[in-house]
Amino acid sequence: MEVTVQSHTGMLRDHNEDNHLVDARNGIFLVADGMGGHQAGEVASKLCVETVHARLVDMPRFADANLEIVVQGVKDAIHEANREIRRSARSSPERANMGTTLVLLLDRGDAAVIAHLGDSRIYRLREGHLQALTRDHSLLQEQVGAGFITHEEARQSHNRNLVTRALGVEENVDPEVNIVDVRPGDCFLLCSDGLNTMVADADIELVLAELEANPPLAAKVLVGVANDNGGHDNVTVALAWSPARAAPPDEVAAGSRSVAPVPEKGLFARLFGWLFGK
Amino acid sequence: MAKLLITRAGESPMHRFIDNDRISLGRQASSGVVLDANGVSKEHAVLLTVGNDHILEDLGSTNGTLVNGQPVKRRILQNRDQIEIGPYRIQYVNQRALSTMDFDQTMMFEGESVGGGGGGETVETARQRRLAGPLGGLRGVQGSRAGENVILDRLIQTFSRPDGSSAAILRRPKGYVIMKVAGRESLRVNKRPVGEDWLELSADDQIDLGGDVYAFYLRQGVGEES
Repeated sequence: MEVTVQSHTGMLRDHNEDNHLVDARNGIFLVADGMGGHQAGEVASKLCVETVHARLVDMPRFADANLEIVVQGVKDAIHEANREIRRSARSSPERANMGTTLVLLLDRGDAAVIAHLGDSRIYRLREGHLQALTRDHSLLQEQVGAGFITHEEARQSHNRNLVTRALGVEENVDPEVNIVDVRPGDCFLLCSDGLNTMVADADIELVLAELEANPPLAAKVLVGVANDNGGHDNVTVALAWSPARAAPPDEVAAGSRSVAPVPEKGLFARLFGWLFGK
Repeated sequence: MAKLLITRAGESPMHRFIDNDRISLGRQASSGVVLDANGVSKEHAVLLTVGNDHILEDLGSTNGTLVNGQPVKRRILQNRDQIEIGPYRIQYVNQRALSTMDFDQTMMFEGESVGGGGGGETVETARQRRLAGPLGGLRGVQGSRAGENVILDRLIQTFSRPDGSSAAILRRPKGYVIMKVAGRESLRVNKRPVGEDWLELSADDQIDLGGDVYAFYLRQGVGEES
């Protein structure tokens, strides 16, 4: 996969607590949104992406490990980052309550391992359609999920920024780790909530679909739209896309011709061949 | 801290800070907020605190609960909401409960978690986008798109040539910008080349994408809010 990142402080804040790390060679993409005063948020999010990354690339036979092993490796790396953040938090009173969200995407060719904690998100654009692959660990999402409030009411809520899971906050973390399939042409979006709290999903989909031919520009436009809409928060947008299966124009034409002619074998012969594995 | 400003004709207003996760309102003497008047049920309504939200629920009262003149069964209160229960007028005051300006900074929720929720997609959390600028459009004047008219009412719109060369026009709060997206053909505005760094469009600009020439126009008046 290829990758591009844009990160911006936004229009209201004076510093950026988001951090990201992209390692295209190993197919590791990370975005973290830190929290905690006195610049501690940046410390937590930076420590998070660096520790998780270092731990993953240190995994024995990381490159050819199977998916189950990678999933376990991702969990271990996140637990290690949690310990690392808590260790750093104890080192100075200003860092006492720091924490961070995390989204991770690990590219393994025709599949990807995704992980998240908190309200940062991963979306996938496939054939022009945007789908969220993560569900926020936020009070609002939990309220809606449990049926306490409706989607309509959620628009009136002030709980969108209250996360229920994060790194650094407790002794143990409970990351959600999943395997998703990857098809040629898929585009994965990793973002901090500064994007999806400012830009409606439908607009994110529109920008990605319209600018599919130029993902770095799409990332830049998404950040621009978040800021146009108010830019209340730091915003980080990472786009990782799997190149479309290259098909030169004449090859496509040839392909469509080969479908039309009558097959060499008759229907019975083909059925027979299929039934008996010929 | 959020509070309720409770008034009744002929009485001096009363303040009640919302210092409890559950405050009952009713005629009953044991209510958190006693509203002793005709038209108020014994257990009329309840105010629940969930995270940053204060949720008002009518408990099946005889005469109902109004918020800003509308009867409600339940409402997530917004700053300066006017609640009516019987002869009482109650104003909800919470500077943090503005739908337009939240405390967006991500914070850890320190209360009790609601617990694992069922299925369903991600909650749409974005605010409404406000557009103040006039609506614009493109008129094809030369090349393969001559005679076509496109209203630029979407956030972003891409224009392509058969070889895949493309440009996009982004609608911003106060106007439009144009940028080159991909391909070999050049994009020119008033004969000047434009790249990925977007350029602001003005009325009557001539846009040329590989020989397809468009005239950009702005409609009179202000655009809608969407």
